[in-house]
Amino acid sequence: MSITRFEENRLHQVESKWKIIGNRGLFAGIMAFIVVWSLFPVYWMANNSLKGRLEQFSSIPTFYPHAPTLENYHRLFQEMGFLGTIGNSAMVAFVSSVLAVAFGSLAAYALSRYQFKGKQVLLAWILLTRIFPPVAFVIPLYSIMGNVGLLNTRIALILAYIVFNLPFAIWMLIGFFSEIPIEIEHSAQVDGASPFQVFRQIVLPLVAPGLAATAIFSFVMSWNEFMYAMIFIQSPDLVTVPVALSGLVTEYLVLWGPMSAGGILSTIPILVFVIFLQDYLIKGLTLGAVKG
Amino acid sequence: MKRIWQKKHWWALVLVGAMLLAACGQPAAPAPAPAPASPPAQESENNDADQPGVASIAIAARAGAMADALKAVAAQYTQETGIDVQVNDMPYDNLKETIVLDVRNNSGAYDLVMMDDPWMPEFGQANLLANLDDYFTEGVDPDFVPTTINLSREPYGTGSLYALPLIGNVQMFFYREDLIEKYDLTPPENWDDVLAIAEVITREEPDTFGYALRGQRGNPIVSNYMPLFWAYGGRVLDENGVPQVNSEAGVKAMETYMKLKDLGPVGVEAFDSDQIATALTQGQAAMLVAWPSWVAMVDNEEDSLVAGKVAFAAVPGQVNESAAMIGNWLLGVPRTSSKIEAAVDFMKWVTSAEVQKEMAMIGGGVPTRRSVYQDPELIEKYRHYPAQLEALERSVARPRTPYWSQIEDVWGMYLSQILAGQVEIQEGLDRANEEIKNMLP
Amino acid sequence: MTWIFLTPTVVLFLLLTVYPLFYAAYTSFFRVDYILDQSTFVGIQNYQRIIRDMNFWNAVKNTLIFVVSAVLFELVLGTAFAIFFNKEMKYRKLFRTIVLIPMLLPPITVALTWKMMYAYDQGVLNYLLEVIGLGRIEWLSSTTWALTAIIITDIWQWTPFVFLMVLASLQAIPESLYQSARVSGATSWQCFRYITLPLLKPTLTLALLLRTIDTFRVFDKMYVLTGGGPGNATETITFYIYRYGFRYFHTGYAAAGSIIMVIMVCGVSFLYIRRAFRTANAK
Repeated sequence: MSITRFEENRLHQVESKWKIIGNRGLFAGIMAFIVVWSLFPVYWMANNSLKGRLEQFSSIPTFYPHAPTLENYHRLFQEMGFLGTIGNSAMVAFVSSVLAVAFGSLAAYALSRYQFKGKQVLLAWILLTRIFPPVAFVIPLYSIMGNVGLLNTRIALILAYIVFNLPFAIWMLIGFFSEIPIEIEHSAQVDGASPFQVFRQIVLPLVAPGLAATAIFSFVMSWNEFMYAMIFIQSPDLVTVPVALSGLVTEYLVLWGPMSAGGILSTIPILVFVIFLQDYLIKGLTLGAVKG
Repeated sequence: MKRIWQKKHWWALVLVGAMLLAACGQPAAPAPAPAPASPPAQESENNDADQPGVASIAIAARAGAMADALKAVAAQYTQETGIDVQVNDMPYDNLKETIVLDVRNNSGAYDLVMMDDPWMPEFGQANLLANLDDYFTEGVDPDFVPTTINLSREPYGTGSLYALPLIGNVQMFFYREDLIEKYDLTPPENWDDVLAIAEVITREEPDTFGYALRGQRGNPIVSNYMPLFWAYGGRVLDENGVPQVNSEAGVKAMETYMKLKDLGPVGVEAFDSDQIATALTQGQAAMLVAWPSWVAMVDNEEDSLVAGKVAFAAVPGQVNESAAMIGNWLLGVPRTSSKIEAAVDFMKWVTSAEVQKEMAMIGGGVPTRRSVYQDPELIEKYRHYPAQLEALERSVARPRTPYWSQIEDVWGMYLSQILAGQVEIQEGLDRANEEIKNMLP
Repeated sequence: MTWIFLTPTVVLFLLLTVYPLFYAAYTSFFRVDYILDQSTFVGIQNYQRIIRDMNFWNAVKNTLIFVVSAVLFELVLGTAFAIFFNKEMKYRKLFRTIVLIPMLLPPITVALTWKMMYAYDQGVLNYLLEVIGLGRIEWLSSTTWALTAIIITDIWQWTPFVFLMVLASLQAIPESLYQSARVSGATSWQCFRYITLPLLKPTLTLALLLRTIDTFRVFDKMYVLTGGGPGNATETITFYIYRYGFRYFHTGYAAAGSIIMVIMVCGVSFLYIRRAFRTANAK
């Protein structure tokens, strides 16, 4: 690492001062663009969550709440029991994404390392389930869940989410696994490690960024899924965040305030999850050392 | 690298364990609860005789103020009887999906369902609902407004009872009384008057448009256009069940509708109820057709810049007398419910005069009984009640056909195309009529 | 040994996807009224009717416009953001999280917030346009802009997806490659063109495939923002299928629509599916 920095410093010294200033300006400009582009709608949501209805629709939009109110948040917690709802979503999303990544990494490893009968069929089938529009699944899946008595349980949602996250997780992880040079595994096998040991102790740590990215995607998908959550769950105590938020689109009005507040609040748990997994994304593979 | 992995791994395990524990502590499915185990069993001992074994009933409801009111009174019902009432509220389309899936798969998840009245012929013909005649051997209380009970029967008005009317909505005409006075106008009697007034207000009053229509594709534009269609003498289906949406009346109504669009705010092609409500309450539009449940908001100073300035009247006529569109929410029992009796008991209770009054006081109920509309305390709170009762008594229902959802969707798409200028009026209506014709058996 | 790795996945797929997929394929040959519980065998009539329906082809056109433009912008922006934030910089973790946020928000709230921002009179976007001297735009109510507005929303929400995939994959490129390239005098552009891009190719292919599949299924944004309107300007294939499946409960017709859509997706993404399969079979 120290050599890298040294090299870089020398390169920098060669560049002219003006170029550096120009680059800095450009850099700051791009940075500002990315931040504004990503955050403005979120800011607008937060802004609305602190306004009353009249101000939300004033003819000249107000860029910060002139008459700030916590009424919208209050309403979510007091009247809608939003905390319990967030708990339901967290539970379903966490369990299903952990399992999807676990099952997915196993399957992806096998698919990327071994040749076996029916492999092409399996790969195609996995992709096909992702391509089908979810609407096509609703009726048959509902009747399966009904027949095994899983309607109105979290298990039904967790199962459905694992199945819909798996194709994605598998395809994504196949990509990451195939970047790992197979020689590393061979040498471990020569040392007497079982295939499972090789997978667990050598391969998995190498694809940590891929696992983290996959887990984030699965979590986000499960957290925000609406259709199955709406149809499989009946009792109000089990409802997830998107379903609870959909109840704010009432027959006559969209309750914009609580809706915005709910959007902001429901993002916090995912944000925590993402920050938690960021270390993996940043650490990166240690492959370079091996290859070099 | 490895150490970090293991540390995090350990954390993940702890988290999963905690969540699983939490899950076990709270049984996911509300089991059919054997009577001795259910907590309210002791206090409701006296009710056990007439409600053996029923610990809870589940209701599928349309999300919004009415579901909130339903939840509020349901808590009271639980206190009185010990029966837990679970209200699950959902958006419009999902409610219909849920009911159909529930009954078709015999899951019996719901004991009561809220239904938009145009679904009734479809649900009745498909035999999704329990016949309630046996529970009302002495007939239905004559206090209910007859037009609302007609909706609850299948076939319309004459058949067996399949539901009770819960929310007695009927479209009304909202207009800014203060502006009518300011410009020395008289409240409109027909749609020509509306056009004339809208022109004056759009021209004279700064930042205010004459009329706001609800032009979003599908159900919104159809329910908003139909009062005009009827007023000009249109009929969706003739005596032989043949669609007539491209009749001369349909064309004339659409011509007026297009003129109204030009006298409204920009962008009405994407307006739904929320946007027209905003236009009215922000003082941006002077007239519109809407449901009475908004009145609470129109007069609420926190939400509205025009509190106290809006008047409510019957929807204007034209060739025909004023024809207010009825749009009730009915409460029915799915055929697959295992607790039909308990469900009917709750249904009778929740549509009783006292409870309707309570729901109206909370702000989510729209009564379906005459006596509630005439209640002095309520009239004081809701100044439009007398006008609303009159509108409800004279209201007209949308066509009673099991194919209404499809007709509405197709018609709504073409109306929206015309409104957005994608096709000419006659051509668009012809196509709509053709497609509706193909759709009917 | 292979079976240990595959068992959980295969069991779940056998239990939960085989029946639905065959059910869809099977019912597509029936005229079904799910509410009335009636079904009659009609052979390929459903397919014939769909192919003759002008509205279906309009939905196909809208979907293709949507898929091509949304996916293209998402790939370009996502890759650019990832490369930008792959450098050492202060608060890198914070900035990466910021870029990810749009993807984390609940779709219904996202769609509704944009709907509010797009409002003609009270919307903040038109206000800003006016402040900088441009005219207001009928974002959602004109047939020319509505689809564009929805595409912008989708790009905003899903660029982070590509960003995250590319970022994860950039981590796998050994720093030593760049070092040696720089020592031999390569410019940043050359580094990008001859090192980064080729190594990102599998990831970009996969991102392209997954985003194509997902944008093909887009539904919630149209549903919330425009209801498919004005007219039929924002009706997509999934919306069309949804109308038949859940508004009319003609589930056979809807299933036929789904099958046609699956065939189209496979057709459109045939090349990258083949490439993805090759990656999977590399070892």
